[in-house]
Amino acid sequence: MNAPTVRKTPAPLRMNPAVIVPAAVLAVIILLSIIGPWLSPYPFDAIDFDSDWGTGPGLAHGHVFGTDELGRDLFARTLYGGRLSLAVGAVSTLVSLVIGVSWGAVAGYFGGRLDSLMMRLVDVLYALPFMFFVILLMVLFGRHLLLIFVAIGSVSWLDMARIVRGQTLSLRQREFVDAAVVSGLGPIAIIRRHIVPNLLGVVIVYVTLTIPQVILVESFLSFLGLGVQEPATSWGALVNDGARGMESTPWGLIFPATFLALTLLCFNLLGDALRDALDPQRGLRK
Amino acid sequence: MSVLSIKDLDVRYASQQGVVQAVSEVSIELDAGETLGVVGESGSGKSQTALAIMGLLGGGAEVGGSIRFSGRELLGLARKDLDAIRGADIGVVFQDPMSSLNPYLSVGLQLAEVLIQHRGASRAAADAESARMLDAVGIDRAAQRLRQYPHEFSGGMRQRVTIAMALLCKPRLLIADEPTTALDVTVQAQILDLLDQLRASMNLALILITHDLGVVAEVCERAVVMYAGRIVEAGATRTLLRRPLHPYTQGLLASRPSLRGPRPESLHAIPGQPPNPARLPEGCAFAPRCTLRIAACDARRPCLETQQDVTRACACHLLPRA
Repeated sequence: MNAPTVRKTPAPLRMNPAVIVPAAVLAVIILLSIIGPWLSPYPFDAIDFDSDWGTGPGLAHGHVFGTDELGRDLFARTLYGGRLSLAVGAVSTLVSLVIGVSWGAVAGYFGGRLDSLMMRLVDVLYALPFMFFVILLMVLFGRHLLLIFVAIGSVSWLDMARIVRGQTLSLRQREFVDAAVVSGLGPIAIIRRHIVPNLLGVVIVYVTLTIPQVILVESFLSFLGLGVQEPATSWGALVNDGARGMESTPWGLIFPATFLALTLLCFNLLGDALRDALDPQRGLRK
Repeated sequence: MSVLSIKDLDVRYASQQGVVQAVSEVSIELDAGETLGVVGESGSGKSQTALAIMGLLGGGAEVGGSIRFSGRELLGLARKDLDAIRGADIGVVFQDPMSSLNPYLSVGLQLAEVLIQHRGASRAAADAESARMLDAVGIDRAAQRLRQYPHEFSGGMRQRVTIAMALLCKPRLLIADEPTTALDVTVQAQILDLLDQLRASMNLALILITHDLGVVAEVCERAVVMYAGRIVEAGATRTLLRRPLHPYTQGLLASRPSLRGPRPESLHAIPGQPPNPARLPEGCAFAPRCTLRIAACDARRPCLETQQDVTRACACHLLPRA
């Protein structure tokens, strides 16, 4: 090595447009979803009898995104629907990060019987037919929005646990783990300090894949009548409704779909940028 | 009391081919301030011996005998008690500094971790101590370099970092498992000098595991030569290298290329391959490759016998008993 030119500490989230732009767009979408329905002059679930059903978008009559086939304001409904879709995404992310990562890392690190036990449990949950599981929940607890979160939460960590376990198995063989063991670190400290940071790349990429997936699962459940019920809505449900009237009232599809796609795109871009930013060796790989 | 006292260490693995005897009846004594070289080729059991001391053997290993550190038995110690000793009283330097540092953590964090773990130090105090230690192993601008990541260091510098990490808590025993194998020759000499210097200043007991006789000659007072899991010869480095008693040691020395004299047609090599550790011969494990083999070699295994000048021991039937 040459005379050490001491580099600045990598600031993981330095003002980098690849991070700032998608983060800003996401922030706007999230904020709109939270406060938007109150900003709209029309409530999300009331029919505006003054305008035609299925009015196209326009500023003159105040329905910025138009109305749906029942004459409800699409702007209010799109923003309102974002609440549920984003909440589902957030819950699944949280569950797969907290449970999935720790489950997989513990199973992979300790190995042996504990590993078999933990992974068999994952296999069992995998083997449960998802729809059957959801219907069972509905039958047991009655129809409740909370059950969507339970259902999605209970399956969204399974893939993560498997992926993390696989990665941990190979990380455990690395010499720096041995070095940590001989410097007297306990297993939990090793998992937390040495295994998990090395998993970040995979975990972040996988989370950005999970979010779109669960938003779609939620819309599928809603489509079957097991998820969110009218007049409440979500992006998935709106896209479904919109797709039905795609030829006569295209705005019903375009607006919710744009929001959905934009959100997913931003998550993916953010995930990518985040992974690069958190990799201390990024400068070398270019 | 010696710092490290290994008696009749056995390491076995059950495999599909039968029991693999990785280490047999290895006994080693080491005092503070002493350097012991453990020499042998791949598969001779030298690394397995080191792993056994560190408690790093996999779950499949059956370990017998005794490993005492300052009089305390390490074998069978609970993980928690072992963790209190490892890193604090026993330091380890691995072969490849490339992979023995975590690429995702700054060097400072990895060093601090050890002090926080064993001393309950605050991060600031740990950083100050780490910087002092980096300085001691010859890394300048230590305080700034703490914030850097392993890939920002060269191989030699990285090995200095791992040495600093091993010595942070002022251990009494340092185990260096082929510490210079992955380094350039010039850097190798610097690292060996550093180890020797630190050993003297910290009164360390140092075990240097290597396949390189040159390394042993440079820094070790005593050395043991291992073959097929057993110690075949032990003694003061000087006499051991000048006047090797065991045919295997003689073969090792003869296999070194020399710059002096006419250039030989081909390099000398010990004929044959090391034995399969799952099927070790009845007699001397080296007999099938030995040019001096006699009938007794295949019949019984020679014991490690103290030789006439007392400082050395050798396991060979050809030598007179003391």
